[in-house]
Amino acid sequence: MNCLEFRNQFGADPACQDQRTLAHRQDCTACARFAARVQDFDRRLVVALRVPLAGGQGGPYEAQENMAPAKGRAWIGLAASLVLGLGVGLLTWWSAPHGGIAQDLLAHMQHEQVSLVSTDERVPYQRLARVLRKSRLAMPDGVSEVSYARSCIFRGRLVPHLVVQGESGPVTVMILRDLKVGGPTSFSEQGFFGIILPAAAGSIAIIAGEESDLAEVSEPIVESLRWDI
Amino acid sequence: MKQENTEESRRSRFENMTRTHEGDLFRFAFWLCRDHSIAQDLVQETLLRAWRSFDSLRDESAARYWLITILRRENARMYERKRHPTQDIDDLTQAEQGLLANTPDTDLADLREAIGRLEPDYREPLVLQVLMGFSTEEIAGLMEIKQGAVLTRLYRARKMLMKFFEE
Repeated sequence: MNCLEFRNQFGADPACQDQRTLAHRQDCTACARFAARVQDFDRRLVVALRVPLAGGQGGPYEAQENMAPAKGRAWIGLAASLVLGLGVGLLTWWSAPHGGIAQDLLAHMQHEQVSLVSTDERVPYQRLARVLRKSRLAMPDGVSEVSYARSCIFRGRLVPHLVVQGESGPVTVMILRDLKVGGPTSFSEQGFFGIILPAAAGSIAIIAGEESDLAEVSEPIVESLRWDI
Repeated sequence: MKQENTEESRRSRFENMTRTHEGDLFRFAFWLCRDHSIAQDLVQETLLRAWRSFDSLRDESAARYWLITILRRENARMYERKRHPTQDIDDLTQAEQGLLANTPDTDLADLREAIGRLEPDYREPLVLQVLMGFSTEEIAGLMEIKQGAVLTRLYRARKMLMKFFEE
């Protein structure tokens, strides 16, 4: 397989597991770079294609997807309920009791599957800075190995959603401006460990597959994050 | 009594199935017609048709493919029945602010707009692959074109988007 064939194949199907394609990627540095670029772009595509279900209401689509099913609903009601479900926007319940915050964080994190991937790739500092700046935050370059940085709508607010590659895998960091917690709040659900730490103007939620990654990732971020730029 | 239980079980299986897929069905419908309310109608019609022919679905693990097939047919029917006025993409981004443009992440809004600008022949296989997770073989089956044509369209769609987005 030559480089042109590889690029045609990989550019059409980045998930291709053809042995010749994989072997060429291994042997050719330029094509390996091309492949990484395509995969990075595809991660952005996934996010872009996942348009919110409730148009114009700013609600994240996961809120509708996690709605509990109504039991015994007549079949005709199914289609109607879909429309209703789609039409109902997310209520801003930022200030709701913290009981559900863990579930909401996990739901958000798991919905963005691209953020759960172990990778050697790092987002450029300019991108990280841009995402943070949108939430009036800043962090010096080199504090953490950030592999994913996006502004997400969470509980009706714009929230920086970062992924840092920890010792045991990806660690999700969500910076929750204005969400105050009295003290560090930890949780363990669905196979994930999490902690919500109070911070200057809100809190920082950190979720990892291994508990040991929480402190390793959280300390430098908590120490270096600037809240009002 | 037994008949009622059977009907209840059928309804329950259908609801479970649609609950799993309705989000992505809507998104696929949206990218097909680029209109929020038409996409809602399309999904509604699709689910009604799916319910009527639910017994014909032998393998529920194939539900996603089956539902998309129905949705594509329904889209063609709707298009024949009622020719919706076409909208310029620049107007669309204003009209559909909630879906395309009104995200605070400008990169994301730009990318969504660029996807919307793709010709349907390129956009559809891309959505089927990236959002719906279908293989190129499955996309060829759904779109009733050859797998080679699917690969070409996917390659060109990515190339156009990457060029637009990375410039």
